[in-house]
Amino acid sequence: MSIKGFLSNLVGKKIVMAVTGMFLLFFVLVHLLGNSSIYLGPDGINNYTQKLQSMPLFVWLFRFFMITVFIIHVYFGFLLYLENKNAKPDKYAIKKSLRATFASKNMIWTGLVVFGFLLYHLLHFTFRVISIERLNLDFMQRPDVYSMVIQGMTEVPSIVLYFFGLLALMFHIFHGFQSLFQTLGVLSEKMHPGLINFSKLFAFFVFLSYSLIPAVIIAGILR
Amino acid sequence: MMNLTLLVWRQKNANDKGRFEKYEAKNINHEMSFLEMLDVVNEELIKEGKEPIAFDHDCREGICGMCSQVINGVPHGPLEKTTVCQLHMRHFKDGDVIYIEPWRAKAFPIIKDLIVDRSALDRIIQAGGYISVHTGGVPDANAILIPKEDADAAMDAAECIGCGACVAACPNGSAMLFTAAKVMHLAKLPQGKIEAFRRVCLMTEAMQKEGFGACSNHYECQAACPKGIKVSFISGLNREFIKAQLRSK
Amino acid sequence: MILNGKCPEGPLHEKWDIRRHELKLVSPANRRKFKIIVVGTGLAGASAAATLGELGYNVEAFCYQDSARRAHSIAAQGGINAAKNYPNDGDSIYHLFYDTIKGGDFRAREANVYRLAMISNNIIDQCVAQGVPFARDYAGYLDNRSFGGAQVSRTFYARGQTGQQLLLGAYSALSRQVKAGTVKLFPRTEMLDLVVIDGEAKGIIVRDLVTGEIRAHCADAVCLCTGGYSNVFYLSTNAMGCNVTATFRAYKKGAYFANPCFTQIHPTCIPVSGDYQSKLTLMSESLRNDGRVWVPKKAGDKRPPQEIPEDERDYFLERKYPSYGNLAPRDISSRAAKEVCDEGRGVGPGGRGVYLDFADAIRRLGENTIRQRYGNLFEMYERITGEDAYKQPMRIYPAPHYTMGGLWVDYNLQSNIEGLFVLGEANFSDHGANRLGASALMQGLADGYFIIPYTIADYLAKTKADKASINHPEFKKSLDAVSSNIKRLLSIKGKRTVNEFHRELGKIMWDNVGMARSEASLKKALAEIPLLREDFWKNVRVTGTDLELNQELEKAGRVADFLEFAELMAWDALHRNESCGGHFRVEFQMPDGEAKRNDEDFCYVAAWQYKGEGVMPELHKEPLVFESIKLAVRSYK
Ligand SMILES: Cc1cc2nc3c(=O)[nH]c(=O)nc-3n(C[C@H](O)[C@H](O)[C@H](O)COP(=O)(O)OP(=O)(O)OC[C@H]3O[C@@H](n4cnc5c(N)ncnc54)[C@H](O)[C@@H]3O)c2cc1C
Ligand code: HEM
Ligand code: HEM
Ligand code: SF4
Ligand code: F3S
Ligand code: FES
Repeated sequence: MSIKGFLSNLVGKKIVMAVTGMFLLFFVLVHLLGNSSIYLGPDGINNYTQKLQSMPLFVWLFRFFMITVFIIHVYFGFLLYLENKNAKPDKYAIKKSLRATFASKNMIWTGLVVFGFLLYHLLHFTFRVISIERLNLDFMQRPDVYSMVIQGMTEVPSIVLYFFGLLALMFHIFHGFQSLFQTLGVLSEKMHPGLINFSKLFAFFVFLSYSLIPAVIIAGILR
Repeated sequence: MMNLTLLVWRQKNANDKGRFEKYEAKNINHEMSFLEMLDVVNEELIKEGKEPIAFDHDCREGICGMCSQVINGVPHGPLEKTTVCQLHMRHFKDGDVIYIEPWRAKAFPIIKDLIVDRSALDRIIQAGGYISVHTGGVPDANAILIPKEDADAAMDAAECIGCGACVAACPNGSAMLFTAAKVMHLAKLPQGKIEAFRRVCLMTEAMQKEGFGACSNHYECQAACPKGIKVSFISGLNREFIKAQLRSK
Repeated sequence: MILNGKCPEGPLHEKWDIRRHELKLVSPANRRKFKIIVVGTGLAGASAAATLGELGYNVEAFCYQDSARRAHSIAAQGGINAAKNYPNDGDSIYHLFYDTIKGGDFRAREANVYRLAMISNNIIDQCVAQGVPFARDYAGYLDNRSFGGAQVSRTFYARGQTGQQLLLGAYSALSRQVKAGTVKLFPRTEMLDLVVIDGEAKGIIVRDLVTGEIRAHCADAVCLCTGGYSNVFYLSTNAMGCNVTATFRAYKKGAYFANPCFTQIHPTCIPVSGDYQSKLTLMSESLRNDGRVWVPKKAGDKRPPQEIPEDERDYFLERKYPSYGNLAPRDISSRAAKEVCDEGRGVGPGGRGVYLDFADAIRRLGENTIRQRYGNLFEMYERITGEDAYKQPMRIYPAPHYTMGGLWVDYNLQSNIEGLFVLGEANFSDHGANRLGASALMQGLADGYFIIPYTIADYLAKTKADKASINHPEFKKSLDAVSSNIKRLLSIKGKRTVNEFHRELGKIMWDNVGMARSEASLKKALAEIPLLREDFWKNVRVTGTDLELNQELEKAGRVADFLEFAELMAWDALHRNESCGGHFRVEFQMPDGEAKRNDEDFCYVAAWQYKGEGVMPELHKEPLVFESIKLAVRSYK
């Protein structure tokens, strides 16, 4: 099958979703790990940022790759959403869901919320056009990401937005994690129920670990 | 004995808009099947000179896959692993209100009332759901041994009766479970392996062409399937598809 | 007239080879010039259409269901016979042949049955190659089970869904030809007439069941593969749509109907639960491998089965037929069950049932083994009755199931009308007066895959392609007749529903032309049927119009044919003054109640020629000659 054939095949499209979704998940984990350096205080996260900034080629390649993956994921996500909606034009008067979940039925919406969150997040911390005027240097002449995050996480609108963003991400992963294994054909009948449960746990774990950062800041433990 | 209120989808033909009509089903015996209950309602309608409700059915023993009704939002009704014709009224209570609708999906246009056109499923099979063997000139049946696990797994998949409940249940109107059942039935057997890669590509292409959606792994289909076909076969189809891609490059 | 079955001369085992040498061939280049109509997509029709398409003929295949895969062959549960002798338990082609002839109570053609037994092995090979997932053992070899009427294990099976798997195999072969463009499918299309031009079958008239359009299709030959007519009894194990319409209308066009009274009542069905009942469900006969059939010894014993002690139970099949026991052939088992119920010893509501008990087998083999063997049948039973057969015995009762009679065909499967071939259950050919379990699937596939491709070529080789055209006046005549029949049904606008008439006809047939028949009962039926028919044509209510999907109209057409056909059945039963196989005349029985055959006077096939509605048809006899076996009293003791 040609690339074009593959990309127009409905299983092919799903495989694209699964592979890109897998990379996005990978990013979510790596970013979580990176963010966790904040618990080490300014020394941790500022150091981490400086290290990254000292490898611009690597960072840019990585960014480029992730942006591409993200765009592909979003594009095919929309495509599939529209095609699938089109395949079921009439709705039932009553429809009982037997296995489908809130998460599985709202992938496009949770995905969009995550998208919106990301825009905000980038404007907030990367481009710093919201509330943060400029990134100061800390006493060791490193970019003071630590203070920026502490400041960012004490503003109520931001906190609310982060909460909803993370919630949407949780639901997205809730379905997406196990779904990607099914799509890639590695799920056997035996593994299936176990993986569905693990997927839920995993999504919850991502949500909790990300939320812990603002929570700890609000609680005043990090300041 | 019980009395029920039915809200049945009535649609004169493909061009008609269709609407729900209300009927009272009186003196229904618990031992009746759901279709026998509809027979009783229809006899009354005919006597009143009204058009009876059209619905597909034939074997009435759960194997031909002809009967096709969504009952209170569930294809084939509330009982798992059961077709409408095998659903008995003992699973309902006096005074119940029951919505009866046809399968709904773009690939299954409504012909009349509860009858839909499922020939799209046939065309998926025609695209490649077979082993290209000629009549005669085949080896002895025991010439190729098949491990029992493979034979059993093939049989698990082959149990699909082609009813289309999976499509009716799927929020995407996807025929993935049906297609996967056929793909995996043949892929599990040595005789079917040879064409497996071609088959999976052709059948999934046909599925798209017929207007079925893709699979988002909602797993509604497995819950609605009267034969309990497992979604692990969908995973199997995906695997076959990926193998086919890797092989052809 | 004395009919000739045109069996080849020569030793039994060489007959088919001899015939194949005699048969003419059609060259590949010429095949695509011939058009063949195949009505029916069951095992017989699908296998025939697929094979003929593969050979290069131009095939049009019709069925009334929405998909070819839904023909009633799909419902066969138990299995398919073949003389493979894989278990090495002494089976052979000859044994399968002999069992089938004997099972049919020596009323089938020797040469046909032998050919069937020979071909049986090819069928299994063919199906396995197509991907039919037959049951296998742990070493990967095919598994066999035993079935009624045989002392060897020769039945191949695929869980409880053998028919489905075989049909899906044939359907996939058919689908392959559809893609190749040799076969064109016409689902939701019902054949309503056969068109005969100068004594040759040249086409059919059909109604498109979606649009209501009446259409003519012409061809160089027509194959009817339209299944059996058990639904003349209203309640039967057949699908709701099974009908006699296709064969009956061919009969009206001059094809002979053979042995219509040979009907089989299956012993293991789920008993009737009320008068709303629309069909009866068969529990596979394979259950009799491990289940024991019994009733209480005392009449009117209302205790639950668990409370009836061993010595107050009557295992009547084991008692009467010690060597076959619970595996006695269908007709014998059915009658034995009816007898004990007539004695007032029946169980369940209405006293129309006997127990099929698995307690012993569960004790011996464990519940798991039983679950593995019959799990889906037990589930099916529970779904219908709400009872758990692992805990209490099943209740079973006989029900109409299979019809051995059908259109008369010669050894080449051609009817007396040239160019009209009849395959599968629709013909009369291979099962005599009674069919053994697991042999109908075998016959359907033998006819379709391995016989018709040879014999139809011989006919086509002698005709000129494209002779037929739908512009011929015969087509016009048929079209008009069919349309006016439909108009007539719609114009009556009476008070009674089609189902009411069908139910009433079924009751007449079951009571008088059912498991046990007598001169008196048959005459009663012959008096009642015309009255009912008359009432039907005055009082039936068919709603809707003709130019739309109209299920009442479909049913009405079928019931109208049953109402005429029923009379033919009764005439045949009345003329056959003997008991044989499924035809049991109470006047003709042994002192111990067994069927008493009369080989002196009735060792023939009765083929009836239509002479007009309500007019006694003309009887033609095809004498049955047995060259290789001796006629014996059928004994299963
Ligand atoms: C419940 C059940 C269980 C059985 N179990 C076994 C078993 O275990 N082993 C065994 O050997 N046999 C079994 N039999 C018998 C066997 O299944 C049938 O005899 C056999 O399948 C008949 O096949 P067929 O192709 O002749 O007809 P069918 O499969 O009945 O096909 C008839 C075809 O003709 C079409 N048709 C009919 N009328 C018309 C019309 N007027 N116009 C257009 N199309 C028409 C139908 O659409 C259908 O496609 C069983 C039968 C039943 C009912
Ligand atoms: C970090 C962000 C994201 C992650 C980690 C992620 C991850 C995933 C994963 C793992 C899947 C499952 C793939 C499969 O079923 O095989 C998935 C599916 C999906 N994603 Fe995302 N995703 C993200 C962002 C987005 C965004 C921004 C959108 C859209 C706007 C989106 C839309 C979808 C849709 C619609 C699906 C379902 C596709 C289908 O099953 O038909 N996702 N995602
Ligand atoms: C509470 C949670 C989070 C915190 C505290 C946080 C923190 C940060 C910080 C400080 C940066 C800027 C780093 C820099 O510019 O040097 C950043 C960048 C980023 N974050 Fe987050 N983040 C959080 C959650 C998320 C989530 C859930 C996602 C994605 C789904 C995400 C995606 C990104 C992306 C894409 C960047 C840009 C990376 C780059 O510039 O290459 N973040 N985050
Ligand atoms: S997979 Fe199940 S629901 Fe779908 S067509 Fe087959 S039997 Fe019906
Ligand atoms: S419900 Fe639909 S989305 Fe997939 S898992 Fe089943 S086909
Ligand atoms: S009518 Fe055949 S499966 Fe329901």
